[in-house]
Amino acid sequence: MRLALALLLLVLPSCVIVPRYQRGTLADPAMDGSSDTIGSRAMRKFHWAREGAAGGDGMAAGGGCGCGT
Amino acid sequence: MRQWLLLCGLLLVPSSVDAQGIPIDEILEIQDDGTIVVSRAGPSWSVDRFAMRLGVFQQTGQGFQSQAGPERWGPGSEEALVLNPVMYTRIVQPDGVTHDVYLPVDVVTAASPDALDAISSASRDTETIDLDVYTRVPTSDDSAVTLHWGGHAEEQFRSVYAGTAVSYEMADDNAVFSLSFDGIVDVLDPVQPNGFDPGLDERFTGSLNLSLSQLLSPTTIVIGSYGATAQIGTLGTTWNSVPYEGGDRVPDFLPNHRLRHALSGRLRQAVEASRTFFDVGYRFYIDDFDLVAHTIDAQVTQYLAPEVSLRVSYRFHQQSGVSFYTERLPITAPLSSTFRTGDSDLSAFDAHELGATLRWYWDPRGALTAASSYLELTYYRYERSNGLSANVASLGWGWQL
Repeated sequence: MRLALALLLLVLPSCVIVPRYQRGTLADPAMDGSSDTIGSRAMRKFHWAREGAAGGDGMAAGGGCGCGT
Repeated sequence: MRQWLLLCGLLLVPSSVDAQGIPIDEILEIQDDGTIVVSRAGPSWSVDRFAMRLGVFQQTGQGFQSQAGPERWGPGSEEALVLNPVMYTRIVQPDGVTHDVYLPVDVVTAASPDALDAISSASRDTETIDLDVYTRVPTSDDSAVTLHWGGHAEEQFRSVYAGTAVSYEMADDNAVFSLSFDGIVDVLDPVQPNGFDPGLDERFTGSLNLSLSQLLSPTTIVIGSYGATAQIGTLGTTWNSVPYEGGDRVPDFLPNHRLRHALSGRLRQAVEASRTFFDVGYRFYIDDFDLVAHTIDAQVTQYLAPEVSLRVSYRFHQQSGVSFYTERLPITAPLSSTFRTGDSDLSAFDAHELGATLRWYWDPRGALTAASSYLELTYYRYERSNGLSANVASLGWGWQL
C-alpha cells in the first residue's frame, strides 16, 4: 500500500504536459525501449530460464529449454 | 471521353500524385461524371524494419537436479552451450496496422538432459524454434488493440499462445496506459529421470498485465507495471531428480498450480548536455511457492561520438528459493506426498550481471531514433552465489527500410 502511494505521489506531479516539440531527447534510442527489442527479449529469456522468479508480468512463465520455472 | 482525358492527364503528372493530391496507384476507377474511386487499401504492404541478432552463451555450474555428475548423490553438471539467432521484422499495412514478427531459434547443447541417455547422447543437442507475432490495430488517434499469437516447438515440448492488449494514450500522449491478457497452452513429453516417457502432459498459463508510462519532463520517463500469472498442470522439469537418503534419486514433485505476482518500476533520465542516459529499474516478485525475489538493474548510455554509443549495465537479483527446495530428501519424507526439487534455479541465491553494448548508428534522416539502423556488439557476464555462471555475447544489426 505504501509502495502504491509512493508511486502515485511520483506520478501525480507529472501532470505537466510535455509538448511534442520538446520530445526530441525522448526519441533517442537510449530513452526508447523499443530500440532494443530483440536484445532485451533474449536477455529476459536468459534470466527466466535460470531464475525461479519468472513471469508474473504479463509474459510467458516457464516452458521450453527444460528450465526450472 | 472526359475520364480518358483525365486519366491521360494523371499519367502525365511527373509526380506520383494527381492534381487533387491522390496517389495514382490508389485510383481504382474514374467514373463518367469524373468521380475518382480510390482504393481503400492504399498502395501495398511494406517492411518497415528488419533486425537480426546472433547470440551465443556458455554456462557452467552444478545443481542437485542434474544427474550429470561423478556421484549419484552429488550435484551434477549444468554445463550448456546455446546458439541463439533471432530475426525480427515490422510489416506495415497501408491502413496503419503493424505486424511485429519475431523468429528466434535456439540450438542447445546441455549436459543435464544428456545424462538421461545411458548409451547414446540423443538428448545432448536440442533445437527449438519460436514464432511470435504482435498485430497492432489502431482504433482511434489515442488507442490501439494488439493481438498476440505464436508458438514454440522443440523435441519434447510444444506450445501455442494467444493474447490481446489494449493501450490508451492520454494527455497528448504524455501518458500511456495498457492492459493485456495472454493465454498459453503447453504440451510436453514428461520424460522421467530414468529416460521413460509415459505420455503427454499439459500446462495452462494465463497472464494479466497492467502498465502505465508517464512523461515527467522533456528528459524523464517513468514506467510502472503490475502482472499476475496463474499456472496449472505439470510445472516442473520432469527429468529433474533429487538425491534421496533412503535410496538413489527420486523424481522432482511439484505442486500442480502456481500463482505469481510481479510489480516493477523504471525511470529513464537523459542529460542532454553530455548525451548521457540513465535507466534504472526495480522488480518485486512473490508467488505461492513462497519464492520472493528482488531485482534491480541500472544502465548508463554514453555517446562516444555523434553516432556511436556505449551502454554499461549492472543487474542484481536476489531470490529466497521455493519452500520445498532440498539437496537431499530425508528418509522420513513420504515420497507420495512430499513436494521436492533440487533445481538450483529454484533455490535461494544472489545473481550479479555486468554487461556492455557498443552501438554504431546510421540514419539518413539525421536525428537518431529507435528506428535508426545500427550495428552492435554485446557482452554480459552472469554469476550466481550457488556456483552457476555464464558468458553471453551477441552481434546484432538492424535496418530501417
